[in-house]
Amino acid sequence: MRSELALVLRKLAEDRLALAGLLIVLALLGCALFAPWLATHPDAITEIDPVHRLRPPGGEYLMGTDRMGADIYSRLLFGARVTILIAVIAVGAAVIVGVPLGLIAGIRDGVVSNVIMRLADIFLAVPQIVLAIAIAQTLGPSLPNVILALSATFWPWFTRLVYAETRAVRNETFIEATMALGASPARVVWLHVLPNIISPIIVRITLGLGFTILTAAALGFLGLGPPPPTPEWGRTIAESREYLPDAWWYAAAPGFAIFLVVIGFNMLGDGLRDVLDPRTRRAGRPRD
Amino acid sequence: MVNGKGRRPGRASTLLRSSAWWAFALRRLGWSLATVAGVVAITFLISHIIPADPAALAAGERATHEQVEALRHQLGFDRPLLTQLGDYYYRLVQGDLGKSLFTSRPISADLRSRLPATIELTVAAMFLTIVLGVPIGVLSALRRNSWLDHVVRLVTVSGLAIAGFWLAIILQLSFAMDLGWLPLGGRLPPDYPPPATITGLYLIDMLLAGDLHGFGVAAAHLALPTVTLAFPAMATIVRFTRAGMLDTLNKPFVQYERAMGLPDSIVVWKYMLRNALTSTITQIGLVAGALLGGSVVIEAVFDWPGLGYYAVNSIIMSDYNAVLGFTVWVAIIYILINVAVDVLQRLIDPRGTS
Amino acid sequence: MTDLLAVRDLAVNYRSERGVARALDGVSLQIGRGEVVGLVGESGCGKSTLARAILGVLPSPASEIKAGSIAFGGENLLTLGPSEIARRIRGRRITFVPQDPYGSLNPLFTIGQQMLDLMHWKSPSARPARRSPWPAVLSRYPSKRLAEDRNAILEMLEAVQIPNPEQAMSKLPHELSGGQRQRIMIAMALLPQPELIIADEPTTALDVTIQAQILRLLHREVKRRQVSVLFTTHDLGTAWEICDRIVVMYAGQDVESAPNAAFFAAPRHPYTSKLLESLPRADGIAQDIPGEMPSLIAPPPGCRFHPRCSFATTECAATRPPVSGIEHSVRCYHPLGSVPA
Repeated sequence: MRSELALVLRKLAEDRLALAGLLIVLALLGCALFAPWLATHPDAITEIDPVHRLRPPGGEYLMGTDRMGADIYSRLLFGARVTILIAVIAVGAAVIVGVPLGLIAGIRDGVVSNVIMRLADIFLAVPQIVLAIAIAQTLGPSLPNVILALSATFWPWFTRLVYAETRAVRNETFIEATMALGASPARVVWLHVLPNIISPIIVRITLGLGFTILTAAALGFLGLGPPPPTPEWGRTIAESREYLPDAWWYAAAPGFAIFLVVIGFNMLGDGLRDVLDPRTRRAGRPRD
Repeated sequence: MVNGKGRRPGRASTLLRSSAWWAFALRRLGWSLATVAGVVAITFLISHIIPADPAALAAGERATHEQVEALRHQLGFDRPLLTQLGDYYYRLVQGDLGKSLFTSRPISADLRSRLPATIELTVAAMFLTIVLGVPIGVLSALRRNSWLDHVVRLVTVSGLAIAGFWLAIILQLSFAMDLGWLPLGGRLPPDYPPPATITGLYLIDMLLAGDLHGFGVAAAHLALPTVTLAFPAMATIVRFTRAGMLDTLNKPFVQYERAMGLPDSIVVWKYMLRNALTSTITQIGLVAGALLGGSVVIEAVFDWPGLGYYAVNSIIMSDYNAVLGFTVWVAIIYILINVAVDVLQRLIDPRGTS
Repeated sequence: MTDLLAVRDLAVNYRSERGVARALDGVSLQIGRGEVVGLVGESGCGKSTLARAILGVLPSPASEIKAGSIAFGGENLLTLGPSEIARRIRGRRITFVPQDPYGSLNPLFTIGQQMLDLMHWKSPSARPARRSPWPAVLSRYPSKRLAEDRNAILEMLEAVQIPNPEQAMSKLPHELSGGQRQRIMIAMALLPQPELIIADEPTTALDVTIQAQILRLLHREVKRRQVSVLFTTHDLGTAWEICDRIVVMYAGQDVESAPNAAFFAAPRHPYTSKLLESLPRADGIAQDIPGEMPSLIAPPPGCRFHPRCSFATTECAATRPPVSGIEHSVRCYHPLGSVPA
C-alpha cells in the first residue's frame, strides 16, 4: 500500500497541471490557516470605516475597499476560511452518508437496495442548486444551513458511484462463489469492494470540492449563505453589483478568487483521475 | 446519409415501429412519474417538516400571531402529516401550488407566465452548446496536441471553474457597460412592445409577426445571457465529444474505413461522430439540468423575466411556497428532458448500454 | 511476366519512445496478376507493416518511409500524395480484408448502409472523384446508380454465401456471426472490382471450423475474378491452402520467395526450414527454433537471422545477402540444397 502511494505521488508529480492544481489548493489552505498573519488589516474586516469606502486597489489596500470601507484583500483571506469550511464539511457529510448507502445498496438486493437507489434518483431529479435553494431558503441563511443544503444535494452522487462499483465487483464470479460459500457481505465489502472504490471516490471528492465551492458561492450570491458580516465570497460579489462599473475591483477580486480555487481543484482532480484510474472507459468520464 | 428516400426504410423509422422501443419509452415515462411523485414528497418534507413552524413560514414574516394560527388551521397544518401529504398531492395534481405571497396570484399561473422566457433562454443556450460544442470537440480531437487543442482545453477547464453569476457580471461590465455593444438586460428595451404571443418565445414570435427589426433587438438581448449560460455547458460537451472521438479513433472500424479509402469527411462526421456521441448524449441530460439550475442566477443578473428570476425574487420576499413551486416545476422539466434523452439514445444505439 | 505489384527495397522506420525501430529493411516483393501470394512470418516480422505501406496507411507521425518504391500498375505509389492514394487506389484498385471481423464493421450502422456507402464512392461505375468542392459527407447518392449498385451488392452477398441477402442488408453487425461478418468483409473487398486485395490474417480471429470455409471461399472468388491477393499470415497451413506463392519474412527482412509446392518440398532458407520443422507433426513432435526474434531498434547487422542460424559465417553478419534465384528466390549466403533455376 505504501509503495502504491509513492507510485501515485510520483506519477502525479509528472503531470504539471495537476501539480499546479495541488499548489493552488495548498495555497488556499495556507490562506485560510494563516489569514490573521497574511492579512493587512486582520482586525478591521468587519468594521465600518466610511472614510475609506470603495477605494481602488493601491497603497495599503491591496485589492481596494468595499462599501463598508473594509479591506477586500483581508476579507478575501478570511473568506477563504468560510469557503474551505463549507466545502470540506458539506462534501465530507455527503461522503459519510452517501458511501455507506451505496455499499449497502450494492451488496444487497431487494427492498433496501431499491429504496436507497430510488431515493438517490429522486434527489438527483432536481438540479442541485435548485434543491439547495429550496432547502437553504426554508431553513434560513446561515453557515450550517448552507452546509446542510449542499450535503443533502450532493450525497446521491457518491451513492450512485459506490453502487455501480460495488455491483461491478459483486458480479465477478469469484465473489459469487465466495458469498455462496457463506462469506459475509461485510467481509466481501472490506476485502474486495473498498480497495476498488477508493480511487474514484477520491477523484469525485476533489472535483466535488470545486463544484461545491461554486454552488456555495451561488447560494451566497442569492443571499442564502452565511449572513453579513461573514466575508463569504459569493455574497461579496452580490454586494458589489450596486457599485459597478466604477468599483470594478469589488466584484473582480472575489470572483477571481473563486475561479482560481475551483480551477485548482479541477486540475488536481483531473490529474488524480488520470493517475488513479487510467483505464476509465465508462461512458460519462472524459479523458484528456 | 445515403439518400434512400422511400426506397429503403432508414433505421430510425424501423425502430420507431419496433414495439421494443415503445415499451422502453413507456417504461421510462412511468419511471419518471414515480420520480416526480418522489420529488414532490421531498418538497413536502422541506416545506412542512423541516421548518419549526410551517404555518409561520407560510404566513410570512410580518404576520401576527392570530394570522398565523388562522393560517395554520386554514392550511391544515394542524392535521396529521399523512393527511397533509395526501392533500398536497391532490392539490398538485390539480395544478394548485398555492398562492404567492408577493403577487397574490396562484403560483402556477405565475410560473406559467414566466415559463416561455426560461424556455427561450435554455433552448438557445442548448442550441449554442451543441452547435458550437460538438464540432469544436471533434476538431480538437482530430488535431490533438496542436495549438488549437491546447487553447480549447484551456478554455474548457476555465469554463468549468468560473462562477456563472460572476461571468455574467463580467460580461455585462465589458460588453454592455464598457463597450455598449449589447444591452444590459431584459428581453427587450423597456419601451419596446413585445410581439403578439404565439409561442411566447420572442425570437419566433417576432419572425412570425414579420418584425425583423424586433427580431434583431430580441436577439441582441438574448445574446449575453445565452453565452453566459452556455459557457460551462459548452465546456462539458467539448470535453466529452473530444474524449469520445479520441476513443473512437483507435477503433478497428475506423481503420478499416480509412484502409478502404472512404473520404475523410464521411469517416469523421458520419461514422466516427455517431459512435463518439453516445457518451456525449448522456451528458446532454445532465447539461440540461445544469442549464436549468444556472438559469436562476443568470436570469437574476440579466433581469431576464423567467422562472429563475421569479425564484430569486421569491427568495428575497421569503415567499417560500413560490420557491417550492418553482422547484417542483424545474424538477418536472428536468425529468422530462432526461426521459427524452434516454429514449433518443436508444434510437441511436439500439444495442442498449446499461 | 509483368508484375501487378512490385515492391523494391522498401525501408520503413517506426519512431517510438524506446528509439527508432527499423521495421522494414529493404524488402522486395512481386505479385503477378491473378496471383495469390502468402506473406508468412512470426509476429513482429513486418508483414503488417508491409501491407500497410502498400495501402498507404502507415501511422503518420510515428512512421517514416526511408527508401524504396512500390510500383503498382505502372506508377510508384510512394510518389502519390496521400489524398490521391485514398481516392484512386484504396478501396478501388487495392482493397483490404481486415483481421478482425468483430470490430471492423461500424456497430451503429447496418450492413446495407455500410456497403452502399462503399459503393457510393468506390463502385466500379463511379468515377474516381475529381476534387469536389463539397465535403463528401454532404453529397447524395447518384440515383441512377443506386439500383444497379444495390443489385451488385446483393449478388456479391449471395456469392459469399450469406443467406437471405435482402434481410442481411438491414441487419446490424452484432446480429451476425463472426464467420458471416468476415464473408461480408470479403464481399466488400471484391465489390469495387479491385486488382489487388490485401488480406491481413483474415482467418486468425475465427473459429477453426470456419477458417477453412472462409479460406476456400476467398480462394474461389479471387480466382474466378482473376484478382491478385497479398495474404499475410503466421500460419503455414493457411498459406499452403490457398497461396500460389509464399514469401517469408524475418525481422523486417524478406528471406525467401517460392511457389507453393517448391516451398514446402524444398525450402532453401535456414529459417524457412526451421519454420517447417516447427510445425507439429503427426508423431506429435514439434521443434522449437532456439533464440528469439531480435529487437528492431538495434537489429543484428547483415542477415538478421544469423545469430540463430546454424550455418552462419562472418559474411552473414557483415552484409545482407543478395537475392539469388528467380522463380524460387532466397537471400542467403548458405542456402539449403542445390541451386534451382
